[in-house]
Amino acid sequence: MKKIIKIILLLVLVIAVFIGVRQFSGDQRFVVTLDQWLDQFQESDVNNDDDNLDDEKNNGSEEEDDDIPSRVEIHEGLPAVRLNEEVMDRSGILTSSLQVVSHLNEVRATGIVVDFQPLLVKRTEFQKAKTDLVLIEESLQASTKVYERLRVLHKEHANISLRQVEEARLQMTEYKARKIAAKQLIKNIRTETMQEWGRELSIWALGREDGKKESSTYFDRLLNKQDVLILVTLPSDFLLPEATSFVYVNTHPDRSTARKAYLISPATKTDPLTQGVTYYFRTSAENMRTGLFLTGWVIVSNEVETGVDVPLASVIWYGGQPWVYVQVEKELYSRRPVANYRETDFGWFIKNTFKQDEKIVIRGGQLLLSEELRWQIPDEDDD
Amino acid sequence: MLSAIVRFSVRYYGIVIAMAILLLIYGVYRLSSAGLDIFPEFSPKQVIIQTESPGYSAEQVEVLVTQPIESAISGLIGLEYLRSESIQGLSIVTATFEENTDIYLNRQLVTERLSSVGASLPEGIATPVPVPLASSSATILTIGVRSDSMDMMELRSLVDWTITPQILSVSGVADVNVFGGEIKQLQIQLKPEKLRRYRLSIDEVLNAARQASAIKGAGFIENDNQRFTIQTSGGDTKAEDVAKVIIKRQNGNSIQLSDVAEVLMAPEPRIGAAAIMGKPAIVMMIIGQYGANTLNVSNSVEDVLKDLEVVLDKQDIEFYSHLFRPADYIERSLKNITEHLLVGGTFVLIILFLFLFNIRTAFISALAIPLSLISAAIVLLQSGVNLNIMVLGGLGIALGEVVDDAIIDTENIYRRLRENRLLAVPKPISEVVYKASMEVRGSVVYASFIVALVFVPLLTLGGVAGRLFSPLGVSYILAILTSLLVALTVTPALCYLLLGRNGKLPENDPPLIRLIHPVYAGFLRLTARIPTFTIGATLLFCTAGIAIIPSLGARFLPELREGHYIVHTTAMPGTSLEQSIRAGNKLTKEFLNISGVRSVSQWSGRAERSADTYGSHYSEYEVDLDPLSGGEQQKVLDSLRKVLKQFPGLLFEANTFLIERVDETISGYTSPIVVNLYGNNLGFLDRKAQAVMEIMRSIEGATDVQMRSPNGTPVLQVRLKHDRLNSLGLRPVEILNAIQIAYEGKVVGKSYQGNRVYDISVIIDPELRNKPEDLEKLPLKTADGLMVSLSDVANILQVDGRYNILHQDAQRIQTITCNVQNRDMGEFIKELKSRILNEIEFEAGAYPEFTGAAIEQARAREDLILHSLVAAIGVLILIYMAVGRVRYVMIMLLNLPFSLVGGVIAVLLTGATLSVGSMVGFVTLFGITVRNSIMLISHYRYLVEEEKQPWNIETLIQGSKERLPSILMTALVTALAMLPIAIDSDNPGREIMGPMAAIIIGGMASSTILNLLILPSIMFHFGGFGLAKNNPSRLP
Repeated sequence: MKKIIKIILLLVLVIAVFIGVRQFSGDQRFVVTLDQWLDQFQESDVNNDDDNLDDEKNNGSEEEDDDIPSRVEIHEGLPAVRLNEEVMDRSGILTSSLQVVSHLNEVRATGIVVDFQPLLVKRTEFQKAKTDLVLIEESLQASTKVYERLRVLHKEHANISLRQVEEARLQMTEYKARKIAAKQLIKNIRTETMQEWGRELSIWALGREDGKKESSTYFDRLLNKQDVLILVTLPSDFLLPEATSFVYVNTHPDRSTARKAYLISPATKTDPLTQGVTYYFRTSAENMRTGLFLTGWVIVSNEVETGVDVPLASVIWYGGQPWVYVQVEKELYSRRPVANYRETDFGWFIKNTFKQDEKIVIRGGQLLLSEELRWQIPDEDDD
Repeated sequence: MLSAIVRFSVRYYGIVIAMAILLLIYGVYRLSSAGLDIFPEFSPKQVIIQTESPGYSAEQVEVLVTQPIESAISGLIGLEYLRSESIQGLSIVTATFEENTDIYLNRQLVTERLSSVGASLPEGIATPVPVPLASSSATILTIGVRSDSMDMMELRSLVDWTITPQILSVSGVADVNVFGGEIKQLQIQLKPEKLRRYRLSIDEVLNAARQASAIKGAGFIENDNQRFTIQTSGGDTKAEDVAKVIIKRQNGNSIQLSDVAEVLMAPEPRIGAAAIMGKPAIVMMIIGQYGANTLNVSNSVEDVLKDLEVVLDKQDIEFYSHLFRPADYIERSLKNITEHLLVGGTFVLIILFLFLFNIRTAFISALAIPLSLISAAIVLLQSGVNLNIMVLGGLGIALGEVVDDAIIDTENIYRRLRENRLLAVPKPISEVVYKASMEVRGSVVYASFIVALVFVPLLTLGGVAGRLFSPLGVSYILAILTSLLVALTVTPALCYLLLGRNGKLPENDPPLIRLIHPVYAGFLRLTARIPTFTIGATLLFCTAGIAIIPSLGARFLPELREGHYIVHTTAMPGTSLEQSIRAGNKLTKEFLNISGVRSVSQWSGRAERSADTYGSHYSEYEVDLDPLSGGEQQKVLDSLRKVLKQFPGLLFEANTFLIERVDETISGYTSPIVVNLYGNNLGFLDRKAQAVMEIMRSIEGATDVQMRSPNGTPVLQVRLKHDRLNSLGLRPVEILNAIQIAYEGKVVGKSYQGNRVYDISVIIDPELRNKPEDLEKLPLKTADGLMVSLSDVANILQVDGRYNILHQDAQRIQTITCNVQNRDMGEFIKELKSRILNEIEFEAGAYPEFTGAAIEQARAREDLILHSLVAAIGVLILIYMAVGRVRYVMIMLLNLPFSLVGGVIAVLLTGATLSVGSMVGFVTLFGITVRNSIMLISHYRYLVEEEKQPWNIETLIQGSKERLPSILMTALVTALAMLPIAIDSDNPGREIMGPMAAIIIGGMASSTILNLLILPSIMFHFGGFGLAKNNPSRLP
């Protein structure tokens, strides 16, 4: 009996060793899940660390970041992060003082240097039509006189036949008709020009309807290539403020080097591409070529707005809106919402939110957000 | 059977010795060509499916990609559980299979199922692929390149097209994860303003770009004589050629791509970035194949890199060949272990010689060490197992014990031969050797099996612990069993040859024994005279020792001294790569100021083809150290942590690589309390999770309450205005396409430059991709040719979105975790459960699950106890079979607390913590001490029952004295063999074995005192040999 037991035990051992070897070589035949046993070890380790940080030396894989004292405190009811200068410097967080700047309230527009050759063609057509009219009028006048003379002579039984009188009358009538046609042509050209280029430009090109002489200095500048004609398209749903006499334009979206362009008149068509309202402006022709696309800035109101220019790098988006970290006390930084901003070349122009000389974080704001919301950072290795 | 083996060995000693020599030679040959690894494969049987989903948000990835994949593979045979994570642009599904399945078969099953999923995924989503099967420790080598003269795009091309393919060609390399640099593309960068001017839609440009890069085959012409292959060219893919491609004719003019876009080689949008020593660089992580051998593969890769290094140097590229090399640790460990083996072996020889005072006996005993260890190693290698630190650990701790069986055998044969010589008519030498061997057979055989059996619970450990430590147990058991075989065969054969036939045997005991015997006899008389005091003191000692145990710290693995640290930092999700690298540069600067830090490299985000789901907010740093001692390495680690603690906005961990990998492998949250909420409605889950958090916070004792998948990632949500779309004649998909092309880019073809192939992609001007506020200006063209902006047809809102969406077993899951302090865990869980179930209403299909380490631990503990009990019963049966009486079994169980006490004191003295390794130490210890007790008790029985001596103090002293050399020798040999590891254990290769060794030495000391001084006294008073006369158990 004992021998049998011994044999059974031996077999058990041999099987155990076999299982072990198989398990070892990556093809386990039976396993009891005890992953959590590991956790037990780890957890007790963590707990030890919590109890006694000095034990770190002997323990290793503790959740090292759990024992860091919070750097977040409440300042005037809002969370703020306290960081000393050394830490700021070491972590690469930069601040900068804000300067109050003044900006005109402007909106951006697009523009194009327009080829006004078609207007010149109209002008030529118009002038030709006018010349033709004068010639026709002269001819009418002469033919009328001829007719009158022949009619009188015929009446006085001079040697003038009725046929001659009738021929003179027909000549006169023809000139009358041609005069009407020439006048109509002039009117048509004017109308077309006005339809296409607007009243102001058509007057510049064709003169006033009543024949009064209009100063054509600006037109002459256009003709002499001293100025260029610009079609400026405003953003859709935006109209040029009434008092506007000029806008700024530039070939690049750089407001600082933009030049003035002076209003001529509203254009007659809406931009089919953007559905924005269009206006004609003129500006100095320097470096401007026909077809060149421009960026324009339209002053909305002449009141100067004061605020601060905030670089884009300082803006943090969180919770559906943009924020900027502000130094509220020495070594204390708090998040401030940015409600109204306008894009400028320097970043954002913000009114009524920041004060002169206030320090904002211009680099590393995301680190501060991360510190403030540390509890929200998922522990990547804990899953 | 055993007697037949011993008889055969004595009779055919020549054959046995020749076989042993052959085995040694073969073993040395096998070991010299065997590979070495750090750890055994400790990852579970997983198949990780990665699907790149460029441009899709976490929610979209979850619904469009993750769910179909999960549906396809759920239900596979052997699938244990399924987890997934969907993040922006990436789906990772992890299928964990049962441990007894074949990993390759699992992969095949998964791949088959995936083949049908690929076709049904939305356009633009890559085919789901299982990530390359990598070894558990994964990284074989981390290298990097940097250049001041070459731009990051060129450098990355060099890495992708020259360095990586060469490394991938090395056998054993699974993949190369490349971080950083800029992946070159031929980009058609759209200028929205120009699109407006020319009234072109993004789609029109895309179509033109597609046609620019088409390559078609053209067939062949064949006449009576020849065949001509037709090759078409003209579909040029150089930037300047692509730029000239006509989009359309307008007013008699051709509009080319260059009119509305810039066409140039440019980097594709990044998913990762890297830096070395604080400067932009490319980091390459070379991943080893499953089962590949770290040391061999490292060396092969380095051979390849050596050739490359020369080429790179000429191109003014700095090459970092050693950012992290796990093989360094293996080599240092191996060196340390070799030193330990040599020193330990020398100690063994000295002890053997001192006690036996005979070179031949010392040689016979010592020969058991290489024979047993090499035999065990051969068995392991034949089973397809790589040698690794755990295997070496198992063989290392067996070092002191494999010699024991041989010592016991040799010492007994030696003594009996000397006694035989003094007889008037000496018996034949072969008979004396045989009988002497059989005399100690009981203690040798049973003890070896007991030692092996106590290790069995270790083999049944599941999960990572089981996978890590079972190789240690297996190699240990194998060494013990092979040492038993050696003691039964080679030892008697050698004794017969060297001691019996040719040996000159001294008449007296060796001098050291002669010196010890009278002292020992005196002690025995004393302890036998005062049994109450002896037993009382013993009990007191044991109680004190056991009382200390709860105060000892516990951990899974001790701090490994790999000469390298992995630091990882996590910021708020949504942090840009730029910011992560900037913060990393600052940290790197600080790290490099720490004395002992050799190099620091950093990567942020993730690499293509990797199974990581890290976003741009995540960074990992490889901090490589100069060769430092364990203590110095700890100082560096402390300094690293100090630097990290001061840095704001980052969660961090700093660990050694292997601890990091083991941590990553452990699945599930490690918090004691975990509440999982399952359901389909994410919004509902979020609201309920918030409610659970509030309840948790209000319960006394809760700390660190955390939601695991919170909202907080900045998302720009584009909501289409369908009425506006209708009035303008725009289809929703046109808008979505336009956004995708603009901000994610769309690959429209390939550009060939020599043998390098680059994507041709259409994307918006990079300057516009930096400004969230510019999204609304994206130009769109209506059916009537009208140009509108995105803001005209959609509302754009910045919201807080999810970084990731987690699934468990194909169900959406939101998890809330917490710790508990100053409160009973059971009570806390009860209150939490009842309040959540009573106060929160769950809609149909949604439900909470209460789990966590605390709950799982209890379950796991039960399993462990059960297995230990089964093994304990087996051990008791074996002890009973060895000693023959229940009374002796009970007396021998005294070994348990006594050896435990010594071990505990050793833990206290060395300032260590209890780890799985410590458990191994205790288990080993128990086996050894039980063997010594068996040896002692069975010898008393032999004297009383076989030699018919009366059971009195003289017999007790005689029996004890005769067993003293064996017990003392085995104890000293085991302890001294362990000594080099135990001393200065905080060094490479000794970290795991060190605590075991210390425990074994401590326990050996206390249990030897018990065996030699206290056990005889107890046996004298409670042994009751007079009653054992009729016991059927017979001794040989």
